[in-house]
Amino acid sequence: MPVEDPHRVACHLDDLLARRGMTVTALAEAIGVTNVNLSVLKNNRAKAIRFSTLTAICEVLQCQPGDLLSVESSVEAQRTP
Amino acid sequence: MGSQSQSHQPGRILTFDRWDFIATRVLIAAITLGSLAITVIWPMTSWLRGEPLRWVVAVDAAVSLPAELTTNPDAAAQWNGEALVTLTEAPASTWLATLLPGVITTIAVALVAVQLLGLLHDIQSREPFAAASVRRLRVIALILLIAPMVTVTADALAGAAVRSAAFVDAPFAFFISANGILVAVGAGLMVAAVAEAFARGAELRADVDGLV
Repeated sequence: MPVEDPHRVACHLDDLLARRGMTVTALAEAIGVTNVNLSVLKNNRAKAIRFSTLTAICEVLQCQPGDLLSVESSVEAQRTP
Repeated sequence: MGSQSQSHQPGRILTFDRWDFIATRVLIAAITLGSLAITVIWPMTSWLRGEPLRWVVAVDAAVSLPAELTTNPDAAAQWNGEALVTLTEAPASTWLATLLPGVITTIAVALVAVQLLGLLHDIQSREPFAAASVRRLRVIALILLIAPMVTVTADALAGAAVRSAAFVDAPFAFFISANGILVAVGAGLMVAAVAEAFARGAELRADVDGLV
């Protein structure tokens, strides 16, 4: 698959936050990222994530990168609007 | 350039502040209006006022030296250069032919000025690495590559028209002066290379846009 194709990485920040009863604003404040940027990530509109941001999120949410991000199969991605 | 308050800081030299942007815009406008005035309005006014048409034409055929220039016995010299022609009753077609190079130059200068003003706006609004800037730079490069050749051709046509109106039994001659063309082509290629750098910058900018 050429790298220019659209990515199929899904972000599960929404679920992780819901399970921990945390808001995007609280997480944004905890890791020092703007609310807008975190919303971009939450809504799957981000094209890339810095390792430092990923580390901070995983540290605050007590999770691993695999819990936050997953690669959808092409069939799943087609179903997703 | 640099504002007075920044002039003592060596690191701030050649960084554009607000006044530098304003000064550059004024300079671009002045060059464009100057080009219009000198190459189009001035000769057109002369034509409308019935003044004689003055045009410098290239003279290819070697002719005798003026009497003031006497050569030494062991030397031979012929004059080969330019002649200032004054036509008191120049036909409209000759006037139009001599106006053409100026009109082309002014159009090219105006087009470059518009693109430069847009580019300055993009840079001042801190959005230089965008598709619009790349397009503007490529248009400038294209104009720098094409306009001088078109102008030189028009100039040669004007010279031919003046020669045929001024000289008795003048054979049709088409003199192309390549002065400045190489500089313009070089500048055009440089701007095209800068446009390519901006295109890479725009790609990087697009990558960073979705970075969290």
